[in-house]
Amino acid sequence: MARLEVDHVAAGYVEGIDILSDITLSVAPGSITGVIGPNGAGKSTLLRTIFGFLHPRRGSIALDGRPIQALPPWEVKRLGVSYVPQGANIFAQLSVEENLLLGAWVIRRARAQVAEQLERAFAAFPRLAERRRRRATALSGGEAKMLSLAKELVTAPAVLLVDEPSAGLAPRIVEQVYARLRAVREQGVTILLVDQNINKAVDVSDYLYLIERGVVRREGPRVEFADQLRDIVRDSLLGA
Amino acid sequence: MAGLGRRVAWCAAAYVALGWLPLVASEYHVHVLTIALYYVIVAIGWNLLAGYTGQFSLAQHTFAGIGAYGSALLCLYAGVPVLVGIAAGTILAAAAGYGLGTLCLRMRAIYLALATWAFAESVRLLITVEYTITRGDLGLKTPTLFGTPHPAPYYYLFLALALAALLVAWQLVHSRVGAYLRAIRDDEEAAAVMGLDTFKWKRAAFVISATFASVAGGFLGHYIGLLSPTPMKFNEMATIIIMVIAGGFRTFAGPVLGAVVIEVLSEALRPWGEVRMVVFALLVLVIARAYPAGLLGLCAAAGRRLAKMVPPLAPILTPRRQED
Amino acid sequence: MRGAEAPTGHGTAGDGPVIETRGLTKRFGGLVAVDALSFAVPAGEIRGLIGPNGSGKTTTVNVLSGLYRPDAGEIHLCGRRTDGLRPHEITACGVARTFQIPKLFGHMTVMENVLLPALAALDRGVRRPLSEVREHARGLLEFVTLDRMRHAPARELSGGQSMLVQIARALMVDPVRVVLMDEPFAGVHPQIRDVIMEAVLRMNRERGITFLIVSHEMAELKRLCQRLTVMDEGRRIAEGTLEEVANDPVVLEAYLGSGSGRSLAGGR
Repeated sequence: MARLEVDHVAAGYVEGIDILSDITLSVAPGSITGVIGPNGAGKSTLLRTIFGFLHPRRGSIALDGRPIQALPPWEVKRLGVSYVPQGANIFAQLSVEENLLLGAWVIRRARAQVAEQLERAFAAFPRLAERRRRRATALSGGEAKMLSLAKELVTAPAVLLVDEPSAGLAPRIVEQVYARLRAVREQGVTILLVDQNINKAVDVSDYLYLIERGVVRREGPRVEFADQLRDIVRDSLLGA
Repeated sequence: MAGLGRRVAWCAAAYVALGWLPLVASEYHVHVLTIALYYVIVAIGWNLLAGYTGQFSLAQHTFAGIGAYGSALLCLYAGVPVLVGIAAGTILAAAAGYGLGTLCLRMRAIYLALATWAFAESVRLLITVEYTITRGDLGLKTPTLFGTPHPAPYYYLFLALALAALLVAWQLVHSRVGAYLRAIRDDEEAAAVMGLDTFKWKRAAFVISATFASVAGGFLGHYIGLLSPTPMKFNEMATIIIMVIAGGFRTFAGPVLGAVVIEVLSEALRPWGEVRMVVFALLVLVIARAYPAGLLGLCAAAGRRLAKMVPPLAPILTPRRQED
Repeated sequence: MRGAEAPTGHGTAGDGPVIETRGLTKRFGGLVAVDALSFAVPAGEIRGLIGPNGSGKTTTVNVLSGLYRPDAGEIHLCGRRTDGLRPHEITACGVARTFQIPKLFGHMTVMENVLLPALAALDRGVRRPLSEVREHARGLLEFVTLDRMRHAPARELSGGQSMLVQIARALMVDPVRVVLMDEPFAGVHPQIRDVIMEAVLRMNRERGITFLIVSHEMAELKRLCQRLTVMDEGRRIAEGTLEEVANDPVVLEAYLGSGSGRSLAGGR
């Protein structure tokens, strides 16, 4: 069974305007699934809708068969879905450790588990361990991105939603972020990621969806996409 | 321009209508109302800068002080007649307004407030410190305009000044200049790309509001007969802000209503001392939270309700809608 | 009609282009948002400005309209050198613009918003009879199908309606020879998109107005633009018709992602 199923979902921010018109996709457990598409296609909106910031106007979303489309974000998180927004989404005035603790907010009562997760995070991200008590403003761009990732992993999620992991980062850091995502997948986490950088998305994903104007135009395993990238972009530009 | 003639006639009528007051009221009351009229002018001037143009300056009281001290010092040291002194004080204040406005051109909100506050405090301290010239806290005696201790002639003077100020402000606000200022307040960048020289008009707003304050301050100085730096403290600016906000920020008549009500209330509550400021602060909080339209809004609402009950009076009581 | 020029896509006024940049550069701290950009748009053309996220498109429009000062290079608009001029001086040359997030004067009515450019022109000594100005404004509002809303306070309008008012207001600039549009279709209802496109095509056809449109919406640009200029990382990487540009390997490579992710803070 798919870990995450999105079934004929429509969603939008403003009454009468659908950003997503009819999205159907399914995410296999333990895979990295990539969503690509031009600007304004609805990629970020899709992740936000899955995570509960937005409720679908039509359609349903299921996690391991259980419907989650009507749940608020913290419930979705408690069920094991974490969301890494675009950019460095960290609490700049707090320390690294405090950031991680806040990432564990929904499981804060389970103190032993939280403590263990923190240690695992520091083990996985040694640079953050070095700076654990320092304020997040002292982190470089790449370190801040790592922190925002680590913060979402402390709940040991089953599914990780990642929005534009390469945005605003230098090439070297982008490599690190993607290596990190591969490592996370190795640990059994299912990843659904969205990226404007088509090369990178195709590189790291097992399965891909191409979204344009709120609908899925094309889907398939990496091999089907890899040598058709140029055609995909050309067709998108020509508005085909 | 026919409208202007009509408005001048209204002002003349108002002058006559309110002119009976000194004949029936005590001198104390006439004095309080004269002071209220002073605040009307200062408050209107500040509302043009803060309410209409969006530049929340904290130096309006300073310009009144510059007008007063400028005139007084000139009369004392150069022996010029009072009216010349007031004119000179006004020019000085307008120039200071131009300078301050220029400094604040690229500042927004909190930085503009801080810069104007720093200016206000600097001028006050300068006047206090240079006591060899200004007599500082000891007080500076100024020649009075009418040479009489009775407030009546000053009441008529300030009534005329206040009506003139209202007229000028009305013409300004309803001219293209008013549209410029409001556009700058709503979105300065958009105003600029639509062809408006935003720097020119932001500075102009400073100069205009400084002029209102300094004319009022100049005449007040030559009424009271004694100047001190005390009214140049922030307390005075707070009073002006309270008057305008309580009356109705960004409305035309709000400052008028606010100035009169707050000044009269302030005098009535004089035995309470400094607690008055607490009362006014609470009033502003309540209004800002619950009824941002201020006292004027309350009056407008009451007027609308009354108009429903007494239909024939409707045209007078309800504000006219703007048509094409 | 005032200022009427040849109603075709080719324009006649003057020999030179109405929009031209030479080596235009704009930096924000360490980030070079616009990098030695050189391009030109002849009179009467509808030009699209496209490129991946962070390529510097919005910054370019902001520099052209005078909201940012360039760090290097030249800008020529309507035959005049305009880099370093303040926004209202550039507008006086005949350049108008719209913003991606509609910047209307919220406390004014729709009509007052549209009248503002004409009022501002009075400050420059451009006198037109008030009745003529009002008629012109109403005509423009009718043109964008919003005449019945002319007395509504601007802040009560929807996003799409606000965009239409922005367009009417921009067209009120007198004389208007160039209109810069930043993402006019973003988040706009399909019906209103049609109105916007009709307005652009008519204004171009009847008054020879030149348009430079920043957008991601390829379907709309396909209908509107004769040619496209493609930017990536602040530089011009291609220019031509949609077919030419869509088949250019450099363009495709840019959209696929060179992997060098730009900061979005500097604008698109």
